[in-house]
Amino acid sequence: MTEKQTDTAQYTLVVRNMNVYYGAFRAINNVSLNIERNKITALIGPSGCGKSTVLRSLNRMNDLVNGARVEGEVLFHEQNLYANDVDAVEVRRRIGMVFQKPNPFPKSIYDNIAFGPRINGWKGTKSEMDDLVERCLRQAALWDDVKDKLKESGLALSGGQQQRLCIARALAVEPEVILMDEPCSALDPISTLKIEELMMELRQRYTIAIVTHNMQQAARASDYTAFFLMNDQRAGELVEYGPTGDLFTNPKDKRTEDYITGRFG
Amino acid sequence: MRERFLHALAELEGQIRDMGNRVALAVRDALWSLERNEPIFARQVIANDNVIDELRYQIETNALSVITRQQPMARDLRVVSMFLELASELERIGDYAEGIAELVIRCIELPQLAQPPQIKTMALKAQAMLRDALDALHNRDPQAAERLELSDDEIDGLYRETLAWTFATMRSQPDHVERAMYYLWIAHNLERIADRTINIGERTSFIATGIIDKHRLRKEEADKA
Repeated sequence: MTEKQTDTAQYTLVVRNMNVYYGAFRAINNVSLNIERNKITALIGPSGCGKSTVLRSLNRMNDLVNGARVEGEVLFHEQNLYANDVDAVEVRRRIGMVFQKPNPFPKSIYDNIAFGPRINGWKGTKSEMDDLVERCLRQAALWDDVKDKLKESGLALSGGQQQRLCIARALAVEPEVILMDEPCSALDPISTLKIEELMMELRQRYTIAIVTHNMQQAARASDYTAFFLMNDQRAGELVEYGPTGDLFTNPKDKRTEDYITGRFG
Repeated sequence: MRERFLHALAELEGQIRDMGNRVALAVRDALWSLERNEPIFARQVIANDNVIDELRYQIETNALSVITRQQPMARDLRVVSMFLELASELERIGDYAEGIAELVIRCIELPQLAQPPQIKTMALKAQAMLRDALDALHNRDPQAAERLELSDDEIDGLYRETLAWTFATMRSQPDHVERAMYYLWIAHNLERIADRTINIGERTSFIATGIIDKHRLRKEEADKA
């Protein structure tokens, strides 16, 4: 074993030699990546570079895509998420996801939060659930906006509030990791900054990985940045990965430099 | 891709180049006046200094505008942020040239006194260093700082010799106290010019490599030890 392989404890997720296929098409080529605990890792790159595919492979969301197949390992607490005996539903509980378009359930704000715990066999009392709902909404910086209208529909909120509701909903099942797939691309700039602030707060308790099209967002709001690019066979590859400050001031790879300085393509 | 951005960067680079040339000319003219004890060029240096100051503000304004509107990254960001620094370094060098010019004019009304020989050497070296630093900047030469550092050691040695000469002259020829003092100030301005050129070299290294080389700090530590 190499040094790198033994030293997995400081990382929440360790991706090793991952290939992802859609049918016969290889979408991801040999990606290895360590996601640091309690940090925000941004995945960036041009359209089609595979960054969302990589993100979705971190909690087996790609299982839901017909014909998708993952090779290699994704280690979560040393356990390969793609091992045969692993329950994908449990994986997605512990590694939550927030999507591009806010997608609250057509239910009350309260029930949006309570839904996850309930289907996971919630055994607590009503007042304990009240506490949980409040805690999640507070963590998502939404409590003050909605505390007087918990029974109103989640769909009545603004886009930014809906996205924070989705984050609160993800927190309700007590995950360790939150994956975010372009969580701000449907939001206005102020809502975007609120989500970024929120990410900074959440990182103290959770590990966050975010796919973003917005390089400025990666620069502002992440600790580590991974840059992906399509190779000649149109498969996504990891080009460079490192502390965000380093990657944006002094990238090691010419291709990274070309992309972040806008000289790409 | 990014035509407007590249155009703005090229314009900034041109302004820095223009400013560097003007500053180098100011230094040259001030020293020309000094050598010939002749005030015309010195007066011109003083009159032209506001052009240099004005360029500095233009560069600042343009650099901030590029940062705001184009959000440069990586090497581009290093270039633009270092241009802000370089504009202020060059502006200071311009001020030292102006300082020398003012001292030359003051000297002209005083009794004649031969310059200490070190000043001529310092003047040549400081000018060569400035030219080297400006060339290195345009060629993005990361080695410049270390090369300039060596010349700077010589300048520092010559400055100390000038100081000794000044004290000796003041003691032996009290009639020339003023002029001796002004020569020392001129030497001091030259020493400052050399020092600022090393800053230019360091900024250039950072633009080229992305690494802030603290070799001057290391050297100071080593010199102390």
